[in-house]
Amino acid sequence: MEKHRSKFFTIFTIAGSLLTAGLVVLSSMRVKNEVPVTSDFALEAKLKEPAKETTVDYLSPNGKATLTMKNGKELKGVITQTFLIASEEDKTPVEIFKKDSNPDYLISVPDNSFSPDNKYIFLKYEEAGKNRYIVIRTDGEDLGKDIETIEIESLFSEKYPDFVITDVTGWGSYSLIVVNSDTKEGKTGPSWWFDLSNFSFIRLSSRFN
Amino acid sequence: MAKKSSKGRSASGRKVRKFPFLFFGFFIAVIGLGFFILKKSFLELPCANTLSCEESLNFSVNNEEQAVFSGQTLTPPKIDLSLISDEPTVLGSQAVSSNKRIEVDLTTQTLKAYDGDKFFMESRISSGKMFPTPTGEFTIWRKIRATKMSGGSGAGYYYLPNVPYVMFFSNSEVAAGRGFSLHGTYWHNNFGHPMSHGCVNMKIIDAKKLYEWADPPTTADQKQSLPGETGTKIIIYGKAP
Repeated sequence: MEKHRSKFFTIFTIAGSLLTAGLVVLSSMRVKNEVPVTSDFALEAKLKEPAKETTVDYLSPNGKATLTMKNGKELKGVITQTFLIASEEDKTPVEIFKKDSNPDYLISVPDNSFSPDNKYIFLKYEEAGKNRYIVIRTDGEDLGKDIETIEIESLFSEKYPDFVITDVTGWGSYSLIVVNSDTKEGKTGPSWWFDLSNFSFIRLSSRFN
Repeated sequence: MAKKSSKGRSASGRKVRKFPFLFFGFFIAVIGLGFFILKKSFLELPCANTLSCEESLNFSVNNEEQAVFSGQTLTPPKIDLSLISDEPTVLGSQAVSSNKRIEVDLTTQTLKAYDGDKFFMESRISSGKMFPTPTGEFTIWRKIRATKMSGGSGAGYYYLPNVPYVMFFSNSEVAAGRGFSLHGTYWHNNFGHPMSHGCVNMKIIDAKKLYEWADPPTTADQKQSLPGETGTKIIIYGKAP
């Protein structure tokens, strides 16, 4: 009986010791895997890797042109964005637009960016709490009147201060951009064509939802 | 007394003479009203493209013609007929599969295609704005590589040669002659938003992919499907924004 008790005690002690040792090893490994908490700002900066370079392709609706958006690495709080066009005939991408952007307000390629004939694209970005829409020719030429690019929102708000642009959805024709608006008071406003041939807005009787 | 009786006869005689004219006038009015109702209900069924529906729904390529849309004169993309071959290769299914279906959601302005449970493609579309796209279950009754579509009037007039990859659909309620179709679109790029006169507008690359997949099959030139072939089912549902 005494022997049995002693044997049980020995097994219990060994098992307890192994369990304790296991827990100690496990907890020490966890500590090793954790990122040390530090107030060293240089180290924090090291850990925060700058945004990687990205490249995204957008195919035109007829499949005959490709817009490539290249976002460079973030350097001193700036990301250089480059836009290139390649056509079905000439597959070598040609740079058509470049901009140094704030990483929090990068230019994006919206749906329906290409004009139906692939002659123009429009791009979207945010500035001063407003969505801006910039139009560029895909052959790198001027839009006319020695203007390289045109920004729709600022032109619209200057001409029609009673309305605000809610969205620019696409192209109503080869040189007509569909613009939706609301009134300043927040009521649903009309849709407009932005006519690239003369940089004018045409108010429409029906809204393009 | 004699005078009175003479007057009475005369009045009643006039009434008798007036009655056939009144009756005839009433008869004409009823016939006219009936014809008007009949014309409105049956003879003037709304058509996807009011002018081209009356002309034809056939294959046509007009590379030299200009298009008109939204008051603008446009140059349509040329369709290269030299690609036409006499080889009897068939696009679509050799043996028509009854499992293919195309679903068009008007609410989200999207199209999805499946072969049974197998997903084939998805694309954004533009459904009817000027006239609603009909909802229900349809079948493609004809595929045409290109055709001309025209209609509207005044500022809404449009003339569109070389409309590519046209898949006409119909059912027992929406007759084939009304010209509703899925087709490629070169005159606008506002997909995801209603833009059409009742048809389902698609990007050209998406329409091409769907045209080559959907039934009825076409010959290698893709010119058109053969008459009498059963086409892929199209289910259109939802409400356009």
